[in-house]
This record gives sequence, C-alpha cells and structure tokens, in this order.
Amino acid sequence: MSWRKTGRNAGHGPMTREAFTIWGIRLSIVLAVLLIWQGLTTFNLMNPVFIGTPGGTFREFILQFNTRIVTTDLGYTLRETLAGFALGTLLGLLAGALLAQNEMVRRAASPLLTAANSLPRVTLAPLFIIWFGLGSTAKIALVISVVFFIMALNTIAGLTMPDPDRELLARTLGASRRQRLFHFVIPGAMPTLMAGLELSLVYSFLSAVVGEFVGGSYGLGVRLQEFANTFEIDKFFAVIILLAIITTFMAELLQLAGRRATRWYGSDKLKQ
Amino acid sequence: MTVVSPSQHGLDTTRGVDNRAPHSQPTRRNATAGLAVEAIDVGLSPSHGIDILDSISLSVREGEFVAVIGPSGCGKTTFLNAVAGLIGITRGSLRVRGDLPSPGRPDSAYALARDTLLPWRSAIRNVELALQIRGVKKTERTAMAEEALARVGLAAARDRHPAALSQGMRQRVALARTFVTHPTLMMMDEPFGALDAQTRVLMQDLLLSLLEDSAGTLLFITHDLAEALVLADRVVLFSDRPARVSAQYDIDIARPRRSQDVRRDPRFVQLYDEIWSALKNELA
Repeated sequence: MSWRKTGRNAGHGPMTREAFTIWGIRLSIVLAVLLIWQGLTTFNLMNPVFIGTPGGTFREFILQFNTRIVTTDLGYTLRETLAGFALGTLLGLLAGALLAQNEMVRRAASPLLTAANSLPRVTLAPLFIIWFGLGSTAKIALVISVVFFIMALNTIAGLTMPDPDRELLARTLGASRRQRLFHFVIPGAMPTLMAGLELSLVYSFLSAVVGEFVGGSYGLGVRLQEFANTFEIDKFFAVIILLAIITTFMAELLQLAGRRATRWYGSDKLKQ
Repeated sequence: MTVVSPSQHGLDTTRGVDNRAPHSQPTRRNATAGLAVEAIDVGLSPSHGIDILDSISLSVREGEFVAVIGPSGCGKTTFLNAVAGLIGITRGSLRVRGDLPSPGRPDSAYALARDTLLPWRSAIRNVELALQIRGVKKTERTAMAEEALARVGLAAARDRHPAALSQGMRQRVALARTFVTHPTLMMMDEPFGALDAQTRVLMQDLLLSLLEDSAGTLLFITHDLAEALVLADRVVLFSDRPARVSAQYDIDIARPRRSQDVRRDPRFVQLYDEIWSALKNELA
C-alpha cells in the first residue's frame, strides 16, 4: 500500500527511478511465488490436487465472473461487509467519543475495551448464527462485534492524545471548549481515526467471510468452504484472489478519501 | 533569512552615539507610570512536595522588557505561568493590569520554547489561529496574518505546512502568531531555547525589531544570560527553588539594539560578568 507514496511523486527524476525499482522488486516477488508454485506441480513435488496450479487458478479466476460467485455471492459478502463496517465504525466512533469526554469512565472502561478487543471475536460466529439465523444479519452482527472495539479504542486514543504544548497553546489563546475540540482535538485525532477506519475495513471483510464460512447459503465464504471440501483448489484460490483484489481496492479508496485529512502526516515523512 | 530592519522608526539616533545611555533616556516605547504586572510576596506551595515559589515581589512597568533568569528548575516558568493565569498561587498578591491573572487575555500573548505550530495548518492558517479564536472575520484575519508573516520575512512561505519549514522558520511563524493580535503584554518562556546558536541570534534581532516597534511590555524567561542582556531593560535573578528575587539589574544599553552590537558593548561585558558571578552563587 506504500506504492502510492512513491507514485505521488512520479514526474520527479529520482523518485520515478525509485518507483520503478520498487515495482520491479514487487513484481519479482509475485513472479517468484508463481514460479515456485508451478515448479512444485510440474516436477511432481506436490500434488496439484492439494495446491492447484497457477494456470488453473488463472482460468477459474476469469471463468468465475460468469458464475454465481461474482453475480450473487460477491454481492452478499460486499453488503454484509459494508453494512457491518458502516454500523460498527459509527457505533465505535460514538462510544469512543463519549468515553473520551469523561476521564473517570474512560479509565474504568479502557481495560475492558482492550480485553474485548483482544478476544478472538470471530469465534462468536456460531453464537450469532444461533441468535440471528443463517442469513446476512448474523454476519453483519459479527462484523460489528469485531469493528466496534477497534474503532472505539482508536477514537479514544485519538481524542485523548496527550499533547501538553498544544493544550497550553489552546489555553493561552483563550480557546473555548468548542474551539478546543474543533481546532485542536479533532484535527489532531484525524490520523488515528483514519488508521482505525482502514484497519476496520480490512477486518470487516475478514469477519464477513468467516461468518459465511461457519454457516449460510450465500457469500464468498460459503463458496470457499464448498471448494475446500470438494478439493477444487483452483476455484478456491480464484475466490481468494478476487477477495484480495477487492479488499485492497477498497482500502486504497478509503485512503484516497482520507488523504486530505491527514496530508500533513505525509509531509512529515517527506522531511525525514 | 530576511530580517526586518529595526531602524525604521527614526529612533536610531541614540545608537552608536552613547552606548551607556541611561535607561531613563526617552525612547518611543519608554516605560510609563502604570504597572503591567505587579507581584507582591507571591508564593506557591503545592499540597505535597517542596515549595516552588517562596516570595516573589516583582513589578513590570508598562512598556518595560523584563528578563527572568535563574538556576534550572528554580520556578521561573512557574512564575510566568502564574502571571499568565495558567496556574494559581497560594500566597501573596498577583495583578496583571490591576486584574487577577487569567489565561487568554485579549491584550496579551504567550509564547513557548517549542513553536507548537499545528501541523495540519499551513503557515498562514497557523498565524490566523490566534485571530480565529478571538472571532475575527475570515477576510480580515487573512489580511492581518499576511501582514504578520511579512513582518517576520515569511510572506513567501504562507501556504507551506510546518513539516516543510526549517526550525528557524517555524519559530518565526510562531512569532508572527504571537504578534498578529497586536498584544501589549507578551509573556515568553525561553522563546528561542530550542534553536541553534546562529538562528537564535537572528531571532533575537527579529524580536527586537518587532518589540521596539510596538508599545508592548515583555516578560520573558531565559537561561541564556546574553539573550537576557540583549533583549531586556531589566534582568531579574531568581534564587534556587523555592524562588525569591535575589537581585535586579538595569540594563542601561541604548536602543534600538542589535544582537552583535550589544555583545561588543563594554557595558554588556561588565553586566555579563556581574550577573554571571551572582548567578554562579545561586547555582553553587
């Protein structure tokens, strides 16, 4: 995801060269993995029944666009992911903002939030299926349960970041509580909030797919489970690659949207 | 680095003529009768731990530049923060232009060693911040901020973010932010403490030119004795913690001043030695 940072400087002599090298290394790594994979199957070092083949995976990747995988399942997964992401981050943001206002409550609740956040919450998937059934609701609930704590903790961290100098400046300028919030606290919290959103998006995809894995009739997770059970490894990898491309694309989109808010972060890095 | 010339107001007749001109020699910003800051027996004893301020009695006249020096950790900054209304005192009486100290007075400004620019705001928007907080309208504050940036020689850097400015430039933006509201009481806590020696000298000259142009009063903390002598009309020496005023010195060096000229002044050398030996006693 760091390629955009070099790409942004395309047009400047030395950076273009650097970007070129970075892309060269990146493609070499991908090529090396593909070659090893192909080698393992060509020389019968491993059985393609278990690991598939690059060629087969590529074929299935193209073919799946005409199947229910892309026309139906992808839609389910995307809807669950985005609904859970939107609700989970919104609730997390609200809870975090509320907790950031009151130091006593925050200090009381923080270890509990951290504990909840370090629980492997995807293991709650079977519970949500009992509660909400095999449809999309259980998956959305799972996504919310994962994303809520990530976002709440990031919001608290962002809004309560201790910067005594900035606090002193606000006081000596005579800033009101509202001015302090809008001119000092919220802009200062933006990088942390953006980082929370980006992390939440990736985890949203992950938890939606795991939710589908555990039970249901639609979604990429259901298909993955199916292909693994029937040893259709090429199809399995084709779905994984599709998922990786979409997740990366959406994360980049989110970064692009947030770049304005955190532009000064990038310029900080340029200076070093 | 562009430094605004200090000699634009036709008062440089005193310079170079008689470097030992007494402090009472009339200058435009000469002290008037009123007191900007009046501290009488000010003490601060925290509820636990040792006392910070023992008993500070110190008056700053209107238009006067006063430097406070003293051993590290002696309570200089604490005293300044009490004047700024950032912390309370436990004994004595402290008045700022007759009022109890309170932060964010419209006639005052406070500056720190670290420039504390907001990294997400461009230079001009950082300068505007002080006006924005006071509710000055957008067009008016942009014009005022542009003027302030020009006075510190940074008109061309108006749209650059702090990360893209050098330390000296950042400090000048902070200085523009301090002066943009046209404060008449300035409190500075080691304003150039974080700068390298050369930049510090340039900043002292810039500050002199800004100050000598205004009718303002300056109370500042420093542990650079040379800086105190270059900038101040009076140097106040604090004792080791808990702080008392251990001595005061009138710096009778003519204005307008320039850092390198002042340092060559025989009176500077004399005062430096005198105050330094007193300071050394406090350190011992």
